[in-house]
Amino acid sequence: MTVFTRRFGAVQVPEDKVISFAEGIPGLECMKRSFFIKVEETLPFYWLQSAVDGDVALPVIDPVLVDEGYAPMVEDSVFEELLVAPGQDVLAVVIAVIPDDIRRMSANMAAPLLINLNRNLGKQVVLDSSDYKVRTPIYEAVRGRMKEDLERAGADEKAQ
Amino acid sequence: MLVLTRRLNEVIQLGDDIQITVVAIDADRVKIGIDAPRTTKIYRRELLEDVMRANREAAQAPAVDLNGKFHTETK
Repeated sequence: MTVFTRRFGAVQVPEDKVISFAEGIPGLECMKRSFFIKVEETLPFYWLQSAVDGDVALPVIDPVLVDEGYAPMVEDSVFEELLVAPGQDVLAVVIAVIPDDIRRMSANMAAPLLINLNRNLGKQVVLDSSDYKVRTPIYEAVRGRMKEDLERAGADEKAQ
Repeated sequence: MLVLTRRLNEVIQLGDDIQITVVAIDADRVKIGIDAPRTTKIYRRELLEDVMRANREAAQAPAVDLNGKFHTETK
């Protein structure tokens, strides 16, 4: 299918790459059907683009880049909902907030997206524990890996 | 909103499957025990609201000048 996206123009996505979030993502119903877009310039961030609303895409990142030891406890019932077979892998990404002042960027480590890529089923899991924060600062963790454009944006901010 | 008054250890039943028990009472807080099917989502409301807010803010990320300067591929 073709999705006309605000950020990336018209994007072709095969149906088997579209992920279903049965309950959507809290606050963003349109993410019920969404898919990943990789943009070299914005690595290590990927984009989770809504297939329903071309205007909406969320920057996401591998939580292990932010916290090497990230290993939250997740109830078995979540894996059942996602139809994860025993021993199968689940992809975990966290949603990032990137404000205009990019040094204040943060990621929601308290509510990762868990995705069963084998069945294209996903869920935002709000973790029980207070070990992780909804707005975990990530600028320091990712700045070394950010592509040039983002780095330059950060440098321009400082010069003001 | 239905408002009930319960004493320590008393229980409220919701539907067929959910029991809510007053486990402890303090000056400024109540400890509440919840028995519910595993599939019932239970959240501290303010945490869920914070997650919703953060999700919506995430959708406001700046464009980072992507026009015509990138190669898009689906992962």
